[in-house]
Amino acid sequence: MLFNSFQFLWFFPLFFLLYWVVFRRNLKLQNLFIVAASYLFYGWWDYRFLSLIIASSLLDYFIGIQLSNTTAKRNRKLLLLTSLAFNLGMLGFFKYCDFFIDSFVDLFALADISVHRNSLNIILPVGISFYTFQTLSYTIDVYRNKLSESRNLIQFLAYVSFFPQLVAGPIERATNLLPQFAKQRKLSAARLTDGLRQILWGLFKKVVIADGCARHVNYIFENADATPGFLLIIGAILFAFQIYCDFSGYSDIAIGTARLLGFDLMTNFRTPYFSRDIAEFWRRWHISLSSWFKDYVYIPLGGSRVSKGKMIRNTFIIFLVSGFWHGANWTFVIWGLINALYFLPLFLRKRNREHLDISGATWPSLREVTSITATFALTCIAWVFFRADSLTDALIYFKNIFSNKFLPTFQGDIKDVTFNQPILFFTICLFICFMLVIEWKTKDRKHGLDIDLWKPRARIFVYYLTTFLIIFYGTFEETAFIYFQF
Amino acid sequence: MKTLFKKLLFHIVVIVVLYVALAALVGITGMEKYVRSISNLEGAYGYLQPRLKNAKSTKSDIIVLGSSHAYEGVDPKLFTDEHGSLYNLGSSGQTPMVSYHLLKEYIPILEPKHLILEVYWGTYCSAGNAESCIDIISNEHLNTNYFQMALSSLEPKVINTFVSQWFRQAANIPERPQKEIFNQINHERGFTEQIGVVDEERLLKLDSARPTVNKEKLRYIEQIVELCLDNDIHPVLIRTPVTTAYFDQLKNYDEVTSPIVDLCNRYNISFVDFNRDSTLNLINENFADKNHLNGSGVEIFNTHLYNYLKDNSFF
Repeated sequence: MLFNSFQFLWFFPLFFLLYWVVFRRNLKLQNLFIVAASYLFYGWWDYRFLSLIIASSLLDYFIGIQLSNTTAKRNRKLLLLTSLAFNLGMLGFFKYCDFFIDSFVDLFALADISVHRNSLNIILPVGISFYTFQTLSYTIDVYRNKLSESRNLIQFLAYVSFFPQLVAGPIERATNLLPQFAKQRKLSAARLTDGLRQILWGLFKKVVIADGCARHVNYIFENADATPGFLLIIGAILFAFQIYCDFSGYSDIAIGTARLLGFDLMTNFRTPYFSRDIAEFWRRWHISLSSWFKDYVYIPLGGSRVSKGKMIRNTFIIFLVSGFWHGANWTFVIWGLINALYFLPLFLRKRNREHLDISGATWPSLREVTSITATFALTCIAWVFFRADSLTDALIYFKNIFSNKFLPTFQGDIKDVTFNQPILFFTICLFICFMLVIEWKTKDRKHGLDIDLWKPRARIFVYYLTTFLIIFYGTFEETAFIYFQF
Repeated sequence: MKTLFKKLLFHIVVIVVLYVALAALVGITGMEKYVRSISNLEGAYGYLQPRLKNAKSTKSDIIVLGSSHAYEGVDPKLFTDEHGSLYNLGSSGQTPMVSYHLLKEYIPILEPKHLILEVYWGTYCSAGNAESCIDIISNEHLNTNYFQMALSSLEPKVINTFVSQWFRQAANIPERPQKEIFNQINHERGFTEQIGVVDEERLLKLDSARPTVNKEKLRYIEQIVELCLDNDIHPVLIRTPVTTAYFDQLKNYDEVTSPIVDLCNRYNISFVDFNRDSTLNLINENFADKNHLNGSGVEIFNTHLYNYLKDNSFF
């Protein structure tokens, strides 16, 4: 079930009413209701894959209990390894099996050895990368004695399958989310208002901007050979906004929905395109994943408290793994590599923590504008690899920027790219500007419509405008969120 | 909390009022091209506007419903004589849901005895009904039947278009004239002829496809059959021929066809798949593109269809 579907439009209000009216006084029943609804939400896509979530949850639940029952180091390690092997094995099989088969065949082909390509055409279960990481974080934290084991199966199942963030995050830590299932939740007017505003903002980003950009981006990337250089640059910029609005839009809806149910999820995006360098960008982009890799991969490897050589190695590992997490394609690995190369100079010069605060100025200074633009340009270059179907396609895309004619003609090129609707194309650019202004104004707040401090009339105007832009400019063709595929 | 709910309710009412006003404004001023989620296809594809208008002033023993394969594939000329008549109500990408509502609308007008429902797999395998609904909403006089259709589509773009178009009609804004369509000739009784011959090089470049059946749309085919039987109309389901290259690129033809065969068996009605008719000798020159017949193809195919209908007591 998608957040931007009609099914969700009846599913959630019904769930909300039953949750607060019928099950409000009984925490156990409320949690059980969350589990049932979450399984329905997930099973709507393909009920067969529910077995994977249930298996992963049960295994980690029992491993958590076993870890608390034993102090023998060897046994604890064995239990941790069992969880890692099962969860990563499952992820590896469903997500990477075909990729490895194809890569080996290609490798042999390079050496002129013909091997029969026998891909398994495995279906990727939606959200597998998210919930396996979530259960893994629980087991690792219990193993490290940072967290007490959960002895309430319903609460644990609810933690792993909590539907607002089940299929595309934020990847919640057990330390933050699990205790919330043990406490009585309360619905307040402030919480309800804020949740609704965040959902509204997320929907705007998804259906107006991300889906509005999608068809133009698809056209440009599919016809890169014949598209003028200027429009190829526009294509890369639009994709940067598409992926940001798609993913952060999903996160906003997820966090807002969870707020309506009395839960606080972690912030996943903090206006990343206002970053002044790449290090800052990575502190603001997909925060739940970056911090996951930092805590469970980077720091165990020694982090930055090792020799320079190892520091460089660790940086490359974390970016490459992050790229590979996104998908079974070399394009993602290269995307990770490029980001590592962007990051490394800052890191080696110890300038990676220069911008820890969010600029508090009303408008950015010229210097800020320059560094923000430069950082954005660097991310756009990397996004081309992320979006392209193959490495060759990405390289051809860059080549075409310089080898194709640069300026487009209005009658031909612009009409083709805009599907003969140039005005609608320009409205998307206008809406991107609207989003940037609102997000700049609220950059130190929780989300774009966290505008409590504004004058009431200005607030109402922004809420109404956002609502009408969704109604009249939204695309509601049940386009899946990009991050579902990861 | 009570205050909040009261405020929310107030804003919802204001938003609904403003929504209707804005949609009406777009419809009356004809500003659809500035709004992504409102569309107007008056006088656009497939000469639907004159074809629907003409249907209102006639009676017909047989009506044809379906996608462009129907209105570009069945020429009423051959089927219309002193024994009976045929009217073609196909429209571009017409999904079973749209066929159902068109049938409901035209049973009392045309008073048909038979229905030929063309079931191209693309219309019941794809998701969504938007373009097909908007095509009808833009070219028909709107009423509660079409309002139901718009609501059933569950697509905001269709609902927005309905509201906007309803106000356009209520304000008596003159219709946009039918555009001339390149490569198409509009004939009598709802038939549109495709001109030209398929580019064979394009046929060599077709990608393979493996569509999946949309159960919701299949249910609408079932409802069409039931509506026919309730009104003493004899339905027959057909699939018009496509080029061999296009047929071969579909990797699960039997899989997408078997639900139609099962449905017909269940209701004891006929399904005629002309892609599986070995006596129908069509070559690429009989097609205007990979899946639509041109004039020469229609002549050959319609003779076969006529013989089939005659043999099965349609006339």
